[in-house]
Amino acid sequence: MRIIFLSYREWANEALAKVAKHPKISRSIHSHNMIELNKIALEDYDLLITLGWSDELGSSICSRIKAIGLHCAELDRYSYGTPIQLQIIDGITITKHRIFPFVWEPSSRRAHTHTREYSHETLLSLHGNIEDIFEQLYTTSILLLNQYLDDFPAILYNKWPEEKEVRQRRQPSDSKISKEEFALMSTADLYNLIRSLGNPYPNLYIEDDKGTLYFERVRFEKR
Amino acid sequence: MKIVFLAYREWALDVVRIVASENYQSHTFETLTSTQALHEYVHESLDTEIVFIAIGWSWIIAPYITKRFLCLGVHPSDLPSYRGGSPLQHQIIDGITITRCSLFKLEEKLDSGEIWGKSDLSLKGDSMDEVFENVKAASVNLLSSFIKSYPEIRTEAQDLASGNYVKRRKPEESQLFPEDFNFSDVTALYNKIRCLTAPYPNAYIEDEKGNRLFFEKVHFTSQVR
Repeated sequence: MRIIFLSYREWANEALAKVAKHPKISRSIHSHNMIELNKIALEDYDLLITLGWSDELGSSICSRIKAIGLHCAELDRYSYGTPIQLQIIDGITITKHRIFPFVWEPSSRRAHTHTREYSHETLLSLHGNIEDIFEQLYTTSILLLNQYLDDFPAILYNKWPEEKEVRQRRQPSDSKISKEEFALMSTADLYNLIRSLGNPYPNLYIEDDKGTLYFERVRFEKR
Repeated sequence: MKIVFLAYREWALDVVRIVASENYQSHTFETLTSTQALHEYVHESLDTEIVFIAIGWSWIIAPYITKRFLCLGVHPSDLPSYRGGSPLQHQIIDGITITRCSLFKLEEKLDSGEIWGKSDLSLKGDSMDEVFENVKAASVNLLSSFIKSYPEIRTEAQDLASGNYVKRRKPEESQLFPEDFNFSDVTALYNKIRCLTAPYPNAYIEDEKGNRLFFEKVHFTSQVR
């Protein structure tokens, strides 16, 4: 198999370096952005694997090569961007990590305009700070992609159920809360909000005329 | 002159390593890391001229030692201000960003001995790790200057009436309350949280069930977004 890897986050780059050792892979190339990807003759490859990729691929890519990505949510409502943050804020502690095919559907509002199809899945814990969750994503990504390559090309697809509820992608400005809101929130809700916005995401912050205070890391001790 | 450093904390040992690595031809250096080692050393050296310098040393040095030898200590405040415990925390909470590191004579009354030197110390930084880096730099400057000048140093008695004494902070004082968020400005919150980052008991809020949320790391910008 000839594979193109596409990722820019450090954990994703390291995970894909492990996947590149899969025995079915005869040739691979690693792109870190769309400029590098657009220079590659896609038709010379069998599969494009993205990891931790936040942007669209667009029809010009999806029409020329089979492409897959990984999504970390079980419910359809978290298919619209920032799924880790939104699930943590909603109090979800166990979710799914799934492989989905990139299919360019201009009418889709889901992130990556993907459909509700997925092939391989595993459980993903949302406990701990973002760095702890990224550590798990590193491991589950390698596991899922190796399973996918083991099964390729006989890939079976499932569909997750559609929901009407939509949790919109978080914006950096959503990381601001007032001091009054901060004081009123429960310790558990604050913990979830702050840990979901750990680095590299825009940290939760409060501000007044003196400046802006960002909360990078917290610890919760349940009595 | 023989200089014996009393130090066991990592940052203090770093200070000792840097100071001792400088080439002072007429001085020798040793380091002791426990009170037991200090007592054994003193019993074998009663007839020797020694200057003891305590850096980040938490234990009281017995009067029979401070009366027999010149014993100096490094204190991270502009003495006589902030004599006593948790001087870094108290100064940061009070909004002080620039202070001094003082080298003073250890005597029975805590932090009250004559001043042998001072160096500038910044209290800026998002965490105590960063503040300790500043303390290290200030301590190195202070001790290097002392070693180069000794014994030609003009000492100065502390005017204890003009300074203040602060008590060592307790872990339960790390709790923040809703009114801290409602009525304090963000710089005051930032100072309270950053001065209680590791290795100190972190600032925390507690709910009615006793669950606690600890603030391990924050950062601040004076810009409003």
